[in-house]
Amino acid sequence: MFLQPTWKMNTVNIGLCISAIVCSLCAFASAVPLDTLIQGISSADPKTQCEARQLLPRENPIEAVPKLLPLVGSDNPSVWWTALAVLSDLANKVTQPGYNEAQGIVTTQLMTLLDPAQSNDVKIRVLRILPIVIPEGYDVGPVAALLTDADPGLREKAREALEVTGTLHAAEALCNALAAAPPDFQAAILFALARMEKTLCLETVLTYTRSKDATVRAAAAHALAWTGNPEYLPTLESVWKSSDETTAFDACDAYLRLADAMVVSGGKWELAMSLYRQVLKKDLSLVHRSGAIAGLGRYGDESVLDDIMNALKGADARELEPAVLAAFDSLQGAEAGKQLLALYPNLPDSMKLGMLGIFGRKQDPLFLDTLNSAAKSDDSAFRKAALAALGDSQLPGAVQGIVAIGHSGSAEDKAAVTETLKRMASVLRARDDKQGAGKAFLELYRFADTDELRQEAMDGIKQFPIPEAFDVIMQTMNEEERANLPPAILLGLAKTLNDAGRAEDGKKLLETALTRIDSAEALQEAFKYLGPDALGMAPRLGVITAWHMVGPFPWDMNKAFSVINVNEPNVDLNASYTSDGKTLTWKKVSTGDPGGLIDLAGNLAQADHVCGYAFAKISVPEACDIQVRTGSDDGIKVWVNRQVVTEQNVDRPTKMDSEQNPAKLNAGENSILVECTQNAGGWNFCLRLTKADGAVLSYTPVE
Amino acid sequence: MKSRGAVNRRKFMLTVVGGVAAAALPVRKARAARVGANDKVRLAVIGNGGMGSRHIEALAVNDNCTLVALCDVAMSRYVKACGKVKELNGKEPEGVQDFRHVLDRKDIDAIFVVTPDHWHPLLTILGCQAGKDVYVEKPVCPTVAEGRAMVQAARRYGRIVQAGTQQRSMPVFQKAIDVVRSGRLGQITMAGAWVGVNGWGVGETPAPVPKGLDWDLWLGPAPWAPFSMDRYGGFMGWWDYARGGQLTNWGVHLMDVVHWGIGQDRPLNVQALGGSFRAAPGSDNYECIEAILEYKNCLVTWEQRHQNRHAGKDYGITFHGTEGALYVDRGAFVVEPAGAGIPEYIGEPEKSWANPPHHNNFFESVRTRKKPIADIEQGFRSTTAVLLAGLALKTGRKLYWDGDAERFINDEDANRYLTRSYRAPWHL
Repeated sequence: MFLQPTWKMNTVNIGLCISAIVCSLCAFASAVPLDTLIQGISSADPKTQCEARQLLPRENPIEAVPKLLPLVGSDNPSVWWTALAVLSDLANKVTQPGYNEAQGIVTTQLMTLLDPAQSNDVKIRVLRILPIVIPEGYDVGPVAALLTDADPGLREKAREALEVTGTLHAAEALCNALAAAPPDFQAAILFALARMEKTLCLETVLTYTRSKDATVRAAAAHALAWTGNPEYLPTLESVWKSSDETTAFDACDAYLRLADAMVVSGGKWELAMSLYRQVLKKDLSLVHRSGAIAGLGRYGDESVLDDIMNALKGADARELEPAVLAAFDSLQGAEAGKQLLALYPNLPDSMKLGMLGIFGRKQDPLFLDTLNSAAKSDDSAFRKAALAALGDSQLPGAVQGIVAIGHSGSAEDKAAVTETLKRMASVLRARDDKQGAGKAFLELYRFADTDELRQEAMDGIKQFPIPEAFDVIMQTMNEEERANLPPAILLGLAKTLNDAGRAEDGKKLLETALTRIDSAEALQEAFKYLGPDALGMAPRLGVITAWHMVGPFPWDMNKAFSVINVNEPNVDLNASYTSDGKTLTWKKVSTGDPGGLIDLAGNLAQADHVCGYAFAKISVPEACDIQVRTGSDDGIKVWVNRQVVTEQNVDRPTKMDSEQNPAKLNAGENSILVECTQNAGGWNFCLRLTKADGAVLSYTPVE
Repeated sequence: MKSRGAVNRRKFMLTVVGGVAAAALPVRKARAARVGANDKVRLAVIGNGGMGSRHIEALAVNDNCTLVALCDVAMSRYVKACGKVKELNGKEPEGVQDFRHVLDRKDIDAIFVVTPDHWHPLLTILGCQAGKDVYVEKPVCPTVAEGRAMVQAARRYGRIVQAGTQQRSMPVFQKAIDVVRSGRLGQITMAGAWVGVNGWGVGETPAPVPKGLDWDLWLGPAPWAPFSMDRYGGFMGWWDYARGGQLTNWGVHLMDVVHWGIGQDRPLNVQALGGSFRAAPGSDNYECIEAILEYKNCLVTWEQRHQNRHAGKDYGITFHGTEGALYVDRGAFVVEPAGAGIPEYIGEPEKSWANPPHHNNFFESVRTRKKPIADIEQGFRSTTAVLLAGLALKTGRKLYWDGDAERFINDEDANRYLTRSYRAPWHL
């Protein structure tokens, strides 16, 4: 034995532990007596059985498990399956943190079903539960004893249980059983040890690489390969060389696994690469050489390219192509990319087609020229491969090549082009690549052959307007249709045109767009498209962003707007006022918010129960009916040309356009006075002017 | 007791259609020449039962492939399937009982693995080792360790492996995910999937192995058990063959779409409750299940209930964003509130669970060596999510998942569930 079990129960310490732990687990007790629930498992009434199944896992495992054990031997599948389900729950329960003691006790209780007096059926059933619960350090002797049972079926079940248990003692038990096992069972144990990946019995395993049985040797090689230990290289090579026809594959597979494990464990990269190269140079099957090539690609760098290309010089080059392409696909790094590109012209066509796909998947502009060039090929196979690769590249620059195929190719090409453009547009939209997505949607629109697709493309154009899209809109939509486009789209397009140097077109579209903004939502959308330019556009959009302000003055909500503080509505911007012992004068304030939100708390005072005033003059060329749209935190009163327009004595947060009240403007100068009250919290307001129908009203600010 | 583990992996008895000729064949790892850009992919389908027969019928009329061989442990199934193919395209493939014959044939480029779940990993791995490309049905694996071994085998031998999560190839899901990922629903903070209940019973009635069925080969790496129709016909209800019933059956399909939509495939932790409250309380898979998986900035729920319907759909996936919610199944997707301005999309009716566009994507990958739309890594991770939910249910506790190490954090007992032992002589 290698290990001393830290868990070995006898009847005395079981009793002591049970009495100590039962009390600590009393909280589990259910309202239904345990014995009643146990009887319920055997009930013929499904409802009673279900209830017992549901409630029993709530019980104290140490008390419930012994009462359930006799049911495991039932002849009635409904009973023993249900008992096993409950035992499984209880076993899982004691593996939770804090149940260490109970876990050992329940394991010991379950182990009693492995007693020689029990039937094989009962032993097999409990072997399903034991791997859940056996704690690390527990003596697995009763299970290990079954490894030498006369019944090979029971031996196998014990081996499976120990493999899943996976503790050091389980590994040790399997290792100890090797000596007495027949060769086929030795191989099964060795494969189990390979899966368990324990260093415990590697020396023992090593001895089985010299077994007379080739299957055992191959299994032992697997049980060593996971370590990634280069010291095993000669051994695994020896196993490989001495393998027969039926074990050659497992032996070589172990060799490749060792190489993989060497790379993954780190520090042995050169050695692993030489191992792959060694496989490649030997006269082995295509599968093995393919594995070596794939390994070089997965873990290597540009230095492996010569080895891979040399492999392609043999008579079976075509059969190796899938592995070579997989390897090239896996290769990482800029230098590897450059060398792949250099290899491309001299490759056979069958490889070139695959390489185009790889170039696309690299998603590197380095390959775009080659892909765009292939897109113009006369060979439809190359056009098809280039199209797929350009789509996979997800590079905005690929749209050009995709479109080229659409223009020169067949109807089938065009359908594929449409599909690729759609995919490309979708990817670029998700990436918020405005220019790239705009271009892709525009080309999709041009290739679209159904109304549905045209609509989808137009939605994308609207979301990502680019200057070229303006022409499409002008060509494909009549005036009425254009007028119905959302104003934010028109504004975005106008801005894009302007940025592209097409100021005249941009201006025209801007004028159209401005007349179309008729709601706070449309305005907010317009702000998104206008970005930093939105603030400068404020007078064009009717938003007042520059004011003269004065305050704070004491304010009482009960008195609403009844107290006169600045001789409103006849204010004098040169006047000064005394409030709370301080002298207050008018000062210029402007906001950086394109929606005109003016922060009084920041500009006047952080105070509660106060009010402040804002005054502005604007000019319009002609007298007109308008709407004054306001939002405020908290109350607001507005005068236009000294006439009260609205009076809201409220405690609320600001929302643009909370009120929409009619007013009249005179030709020339007009005055606007605002009193904004502050109860507590935020203190601000916004105000904009619209035409009577809600469209924005352009004005000229007056200093 | 019946002799077990009698199948020698390297030497086996081959039975051919309509004949009794048997011969001992050594297994040579074969591989075909590379499939050219315009070549038909030469296929074998392993597993010719319910889902297998659907695939076969679709593949028989697909110009991108030729069905070279059909394989099933039950002779009656492959005989019937071969006849069906002949009826559909006039060419009868070879019918075989032992998959090793398929792997040995040099004229087969790729295999479809449409067996019960417990065979998926090993057949995929052996297929890769034999130089075949593989289409494997979902759930791709019963345990996490096997799934990772499948990915490793695909990479180690440079093979294409596509998972049968065909919703990746369905326009209704592609368009729905486009909406979800466009940001038009705002930030997605919750997603969910729902389906009906598990309906499998408990217990079994052992019976003689039907003539023409290789029961030992059907069991393969699973623990030995006597034949019963309960296991053979209802494998999805048994822990030894399928770990979760609906949770791993529909669950993989639905969770795959959740992963696609939220752009993540590694849960941080998982909790679950479940029970069988009417009958069969000893069944391996619970009737009703509720699970919650936490991802970065997003919660994901799994509901398995009676009369489970959301937005008029009896199963489906939902994404809840700050600006709207999207509900999708294979028929359509709808966005609420209607004011979000995204119209309902009604897709093509699903004609078969075998999805030709998904098949074609696989064939395209076989030709170009490009990873398929449902690469094994992705299928594995979608399977992992529901496996973890099943393990949270099994262990009765919240489990914290390290998606990089593919281990539970500070819970070595729960980690035991991440692997299973293979019945000798099978091994990974």
